[in-house]
Amino acid sequence: MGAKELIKSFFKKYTEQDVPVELDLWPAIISRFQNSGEEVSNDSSDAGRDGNPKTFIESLPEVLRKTSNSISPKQKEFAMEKEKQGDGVRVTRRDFLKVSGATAAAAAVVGGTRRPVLRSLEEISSNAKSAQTEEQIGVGICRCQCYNYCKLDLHVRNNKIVKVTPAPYPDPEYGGGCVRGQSFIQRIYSPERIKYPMKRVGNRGEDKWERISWDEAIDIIGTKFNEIRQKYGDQAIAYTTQGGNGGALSNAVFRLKSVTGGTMIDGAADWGWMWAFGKVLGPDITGVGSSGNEPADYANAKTIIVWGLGLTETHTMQWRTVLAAKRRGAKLIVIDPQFPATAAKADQWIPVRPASDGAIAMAMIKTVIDEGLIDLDFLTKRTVAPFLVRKDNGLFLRNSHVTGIAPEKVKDPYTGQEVVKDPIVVWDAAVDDAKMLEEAQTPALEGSYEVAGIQVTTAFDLLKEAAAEYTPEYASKLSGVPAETIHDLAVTYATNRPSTILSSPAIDHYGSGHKFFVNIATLAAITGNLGKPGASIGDFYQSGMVLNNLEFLFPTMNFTEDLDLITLKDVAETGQLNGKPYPVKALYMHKANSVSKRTRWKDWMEHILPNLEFVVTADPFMVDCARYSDILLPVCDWFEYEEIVCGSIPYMSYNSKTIDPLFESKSDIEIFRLLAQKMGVGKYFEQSNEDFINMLFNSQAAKDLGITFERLKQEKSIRILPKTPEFWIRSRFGTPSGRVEFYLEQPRPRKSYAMKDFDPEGERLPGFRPPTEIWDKQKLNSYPLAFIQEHARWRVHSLWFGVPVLNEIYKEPYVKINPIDAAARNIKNNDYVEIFNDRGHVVGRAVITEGIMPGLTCMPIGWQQNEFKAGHYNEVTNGYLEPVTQTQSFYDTLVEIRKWEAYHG
Amino acid sequence: MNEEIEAIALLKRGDVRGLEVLVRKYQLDSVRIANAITKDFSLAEEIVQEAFLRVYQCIDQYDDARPFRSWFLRIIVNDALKALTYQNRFVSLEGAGEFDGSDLAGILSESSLWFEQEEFGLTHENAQALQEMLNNLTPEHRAVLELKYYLDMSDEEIAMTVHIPLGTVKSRLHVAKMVLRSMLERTDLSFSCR
Repeated sequence: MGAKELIKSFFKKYTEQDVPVELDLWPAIISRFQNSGEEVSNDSSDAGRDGNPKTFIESLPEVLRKTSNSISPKQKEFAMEKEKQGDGVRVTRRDFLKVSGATAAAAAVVGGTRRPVLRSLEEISSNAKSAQTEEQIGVGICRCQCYNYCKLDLHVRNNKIVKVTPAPYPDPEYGGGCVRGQSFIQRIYSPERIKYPMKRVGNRGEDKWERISWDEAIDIIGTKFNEIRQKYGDQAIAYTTQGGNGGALSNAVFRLKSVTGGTMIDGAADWGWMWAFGKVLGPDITGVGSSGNEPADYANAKTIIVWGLGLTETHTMQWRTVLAAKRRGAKLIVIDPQFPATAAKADQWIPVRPASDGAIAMAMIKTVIDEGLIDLDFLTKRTVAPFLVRKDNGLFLRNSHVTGIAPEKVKDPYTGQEVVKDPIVVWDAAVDDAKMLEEAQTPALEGSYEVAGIQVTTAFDLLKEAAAEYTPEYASKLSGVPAETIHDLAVTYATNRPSTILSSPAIDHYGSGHKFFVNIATLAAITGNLGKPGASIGDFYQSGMVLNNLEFLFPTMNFTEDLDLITLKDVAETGQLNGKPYPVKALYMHKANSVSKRTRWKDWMEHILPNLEFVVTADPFMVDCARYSDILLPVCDWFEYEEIVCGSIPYMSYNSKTIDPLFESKSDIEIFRLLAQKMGVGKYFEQSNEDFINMLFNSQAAKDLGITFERLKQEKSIRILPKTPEFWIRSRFGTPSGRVEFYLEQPRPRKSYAMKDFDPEGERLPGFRPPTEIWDKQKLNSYPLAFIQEHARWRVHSLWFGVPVLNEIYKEPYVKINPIDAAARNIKNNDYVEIFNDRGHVVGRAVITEGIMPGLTCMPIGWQQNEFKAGHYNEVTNGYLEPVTQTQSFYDTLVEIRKWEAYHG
Repeated sequence: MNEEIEAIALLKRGDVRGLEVLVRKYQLDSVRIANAITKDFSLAEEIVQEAFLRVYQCIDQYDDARPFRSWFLRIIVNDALKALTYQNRFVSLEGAGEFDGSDLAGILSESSLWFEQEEFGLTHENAQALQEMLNNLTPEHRAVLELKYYLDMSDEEIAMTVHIPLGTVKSRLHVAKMVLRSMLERTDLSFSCR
């Protein structure tokens, strides 16, 4: 017997040994069909095809799907496919108890006790036959602001959602949901909902209202808006919107703003990382409008660094993809000043001093260069490393600079626009002379040269220079992380490839926080950890890929300058922007709790609101900004209107109108339609929602993919990217040069009105600048604790609240304090404490934990103002606006903590 | 083969009789593989039962051009691995407090040895040690070995079946082969396995 035969016979033995040949599973299987309480049909040709109620056998797939712990790939809503789907709602004859039982059984499967499961299902299904009522299942997409957009099955009886269960996407990696989606039912029927249009009768903030009709509300708003427009100009009507109520149609505010010439106020939040990735990698690394690979691709990574991101709390679905990678052997490293739940599963946790992340990234850049771990091929072909930078003006050396001949103008074959064609010049080491990039054989990565009398240096040399001072030892001094750890981190990232860094905008919540993202994008580029399967940086987001947003949002192609939430204060107060008149007199807030999400809360009360003549809030819920409004409009919650949705997974999804709008609520687009008529621009809103959706699908990408509204309604979710690892191999980036631009030729601030405070030289290269407040030695004397705010898994930002079952766990605001800091202040666990500084205060319970470093405190957010015993966390936060990216510095805040005396309970 | 095509056609029309044919044809192989991976016979039975029920439900996803056997066995292997993942999340309390570790040597009794030593030219001690080694492999490794040596799949087919990169298949096989090599060294056939 040869070796192979031996092994084979060995395995035959091993495999067949325990299992008797006479094994027969069929009786058990058929009894599982029969025990379900219905006749087994041996011929299904006449069942359920003519609108008759379905037999249990027909709905069995549904039940099984809920009892099965392994969701098979490409699993679809089976029964849904078979029936005609007009509105995404299907009628099945199935009793509610049975379904509840099935889900309980599913939970038991996950809980690890397998065998009792089917028994309980059988009992429930046979005992509960009498309780049969009509049940409909709608398809819903959870659109809380994590953008993971998990799919949900909405179980409806009598026009009421009675249960929400997770539904699978065709890819098993996506979906699954989290507690927020699962408890959604309590949110829909929450007492916090705004039921009717209302008019303020007390003072702003007093919360005294009078119910009015929709006609009256629209009349008041329209009349007031028109008056203000006439008196102060179109820009005087401002709108705030962020990620709440996500969906393509609910962005209609941009359409109204565009045709009426209003002002959009952005939240000045999370822009640091978008600016940085946008500049270095281009807006378009994947061709789909995001910088990272899709979450399912994390599984191809060998090293994953989760840097300042609470995946377990905020992106449960992505966390599952990270765990999948880990199961496949990936090394998981978590960098965080706290010990988050992600760290509990990590191979390594690196606690850092808040805001020092950028310095660590710089030291990693220096380390990989010094250790010779750079990816020369990627560096030469995919980055600007060999480009020559002029010493006199900082621009890249181009052909016209060398030859003196004016550059050629050519027509872009795609856009038809005229573009200047002026090729980049590099130093060709093969001939030791300057050559056009396309002709150079061996572009030099290093060296300073003189070309046609112009002094130039390679961009890579400038990068090395910029990184020179950031030795691991120096970064260690700034960050508190041992130099050796930083060195090893860099080596692991560069060698155990492909590597992925997952981060979040958290790190841009400090002054100059965007530099960190410039640095990690550069680090990814020089180590070749970019544009490959398993090598990704940043987030994946694809809202703009398929949809023809331009036509829908900007029908008149009117793009006005927008403001940010911080600059709004000066503009509202002075009526000027950069010395020029810019009166803003009315504010329409929706899809965002703008009052709550602004640093220096008191600015609203003292400077912004008193200067606004008219304030409207449109929201499903009584959020903070609603209390300070003149008119309240009730908005539909997600499942009360039809919507199309795309977010941070590569799917375009359909959200059905599952129940009628509750109370008198209307969807955002419905409200804008009414307002547009009143404001004299009704012709831009004449189309039906379906017309608008068809307009959104009127794009080349949608045509190429064959996506139509009809098809989407049928299939519910359509994958818009090929699912092959090779898809992530990028030959071109979305930057002007098509390469990773770690050197910026012409840096600009995000908002052009911020030019006056902008220093372009500080933005050309990766680097590090300390935060504005939390490292300030003088300020530390009075307020020695840095104060950050994290997201909890029970709420999302400031719009998701009012769910009783989650409030059972997330009862009241609390602040995490290290035992050393607590002892120094005589604070005990559960004491009410006051966090304060000279800007304001906020009160919460003390949670004393080793999971946060000394000198740092953290308050999980998501609270409405009236849930605090006193104050608001944004009373104390630093109002500094980062001049490059116009991003608020929520975390760049120093505070002191003391026991709260007002509490004597 | 015709019988199988007919069964699938029946099943695609929702006729449960089609399932019976498939169950009778593939149950033995399926349970054996699930059992070899999970080392839990009743769990293996259940995995296979559930997989057949799911076949009933998602037969419309099955591509007639591909062999049913490999499509189905792929489901079994993945479900078996998944089932273990779920199980391993929880610490079993079963038997807690009963086992004091003193009779470690007696765990593998004569009767529990599952291969005949003479057939492989092994001593009782060697057989015991080898069996222990194989049982100590992770289910993932066992799955790869099963596919390779019991089902005769190529490395590429294994990669597709278990949804892992080819490199991972090779590395798992490598580890597993080390165990096998040590086994072979103990037999009277003294050559390495490649």
